[in-house]
Amino acid sequence: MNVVEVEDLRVHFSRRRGVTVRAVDGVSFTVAPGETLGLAGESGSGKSTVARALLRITDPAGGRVRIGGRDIAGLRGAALKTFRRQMQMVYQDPYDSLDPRMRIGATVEEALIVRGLPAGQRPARVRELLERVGLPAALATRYPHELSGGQRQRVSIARALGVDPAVIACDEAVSALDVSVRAQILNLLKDLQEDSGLAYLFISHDLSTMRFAADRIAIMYLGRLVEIGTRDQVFGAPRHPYTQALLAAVPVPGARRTGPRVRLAGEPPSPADPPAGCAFHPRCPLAEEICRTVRPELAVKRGGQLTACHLAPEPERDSEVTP
Amino acid sequence: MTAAQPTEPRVRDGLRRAGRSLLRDIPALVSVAVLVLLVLAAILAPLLAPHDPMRTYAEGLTARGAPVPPGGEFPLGTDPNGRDVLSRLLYGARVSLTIGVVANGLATVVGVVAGVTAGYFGGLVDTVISRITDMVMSFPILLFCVALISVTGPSQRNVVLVIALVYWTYLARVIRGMVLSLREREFVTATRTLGVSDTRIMVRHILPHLVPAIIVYATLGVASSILIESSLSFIGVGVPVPEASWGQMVDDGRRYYEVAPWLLFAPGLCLIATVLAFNLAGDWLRDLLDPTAPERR
Repeated sequence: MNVVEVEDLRVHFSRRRGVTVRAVDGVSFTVAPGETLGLAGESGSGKSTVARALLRITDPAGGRVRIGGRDIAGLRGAALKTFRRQMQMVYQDPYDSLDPRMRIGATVEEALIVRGLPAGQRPARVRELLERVGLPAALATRYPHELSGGQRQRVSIARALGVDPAVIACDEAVSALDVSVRAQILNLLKDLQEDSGLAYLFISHDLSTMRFAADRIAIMYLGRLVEIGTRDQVFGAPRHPYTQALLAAVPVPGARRTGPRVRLAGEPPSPADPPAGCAFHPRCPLAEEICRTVRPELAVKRGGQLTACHLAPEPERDSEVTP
Repeated sequence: MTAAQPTEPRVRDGLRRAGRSLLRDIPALVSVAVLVLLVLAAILAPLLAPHDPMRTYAEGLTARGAPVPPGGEFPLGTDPNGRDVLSRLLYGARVSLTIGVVANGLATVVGVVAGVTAGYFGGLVDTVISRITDMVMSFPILLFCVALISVTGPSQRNVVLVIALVYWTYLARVIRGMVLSLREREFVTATRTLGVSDTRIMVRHILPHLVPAIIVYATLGVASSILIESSLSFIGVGVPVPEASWGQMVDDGRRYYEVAPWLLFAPGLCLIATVLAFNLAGDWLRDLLDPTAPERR
């Protein structure tokens, strides 16, 4: 059974004068235990909002979110607190996601307090958690400003692990780190996954990180998924022109480019006033008449992934597997 | 609460750290010493005072009825009523410090609780608390105090309550603003998604970040409370008359400074010393409690 099931998730922000921003507009996906789903897209595409809605930091306007088989809409009070142990998040900013006035040990310990662990057992568990993320237990008495960015992200991970979650959302969790440190953290995440079957919702705008970290990849554009498939499907043969453009923008060392380069022009349109039809059509090099009027839905395309594009080639055989 | 150490050694560690930093910080050391002396003087006033602070002494006035200058039997001279200035100063310390510390302490506690509650929960709670602070702040402070005291009657307790009733709003407003931005910080979100209760978030994650602002406001507030009391005394609704308070003494002294400057200087210097000591000690305390402040060596 999938640990995360998201169906037609909508998150709206209302602004003044009745303008509603559809930050997330009908997103569906699943994450299986032990799997990493990568969620990629430009700034403002709504990828962080998806994670925040899953964690109930932001309340969804519609759709269904099931985490660990439980519908999380409308959870309140104690039930909400209990649900929160199912899913945790590691945040982008290692400088702001830990309380600067709290010692590392106390920060990690909070997770254990939430779980109701008796005070006597906590110090040992804190040491254990710190060691599990590759930090010396002696760091417990330090303050966050005494740690490096990578160490802080490890502390964030230890805190998340403290409540024993089934899913961890990593919202640009390695984007602020040096490349060498980034690889260490990604490896740590993988090791933890192998040990305990954690699932990750891995959010990043960085496709090379994605290629390394994700099993399946979903591409978001303006609050909607435009393509979702396995890593090989999406990176090997992207079907949506937006995915193609994103991939073309990733510099590949030593690669000789074949075929015409797809270049993205301009900024993504405002989600407060999305274009009619396919939201990508004003920037799409292939756009045709139908793209301006009819919004494409996600459908299986050639290669097997789901793509929301009128012009993507249809699957050759019916036997191709849906991801 | 830290995982790695039991509580008791941490308290001892903290005290040792406080002592060490105090020895390195001369202004703070002097300030703390001054505050300790002031408190001792106030507590021991009956033992230290050479005379009865409320009694008019025949020797306290010159043949022409003028106050006696400092020296001799009256170390700091006498006031125009022939009362001993030093004794009044010592007893006045009781009144002024009590008002400064208690009124301001009350205002701080109420202001912090109200400000944190309003800022953290927002919505209706915030609206109600903010409108109350608006209402109180829309009156001129002095006028508001005078109006309240004329209803309740002047006494030291009422002066304390009235000052607290006015001053909490200023702190509440500042704290609310800080909490509004603090609660959006990522570490607060992270803690909330962990499933930590609101009360614990407010006490363990919001409050520690407010400490510097609270210390600054509280130490400045001690000064303003003492001064407000002196204004109230001047109008005649402060601490009832024969009792001494520094504010009252300054007001007295102001009228006679040409013939008897000691009347102004004695309580004035005490006021300045107190206010300065509170501020400098507050700065020291703020640095001490900030783990990110570089330790001065």
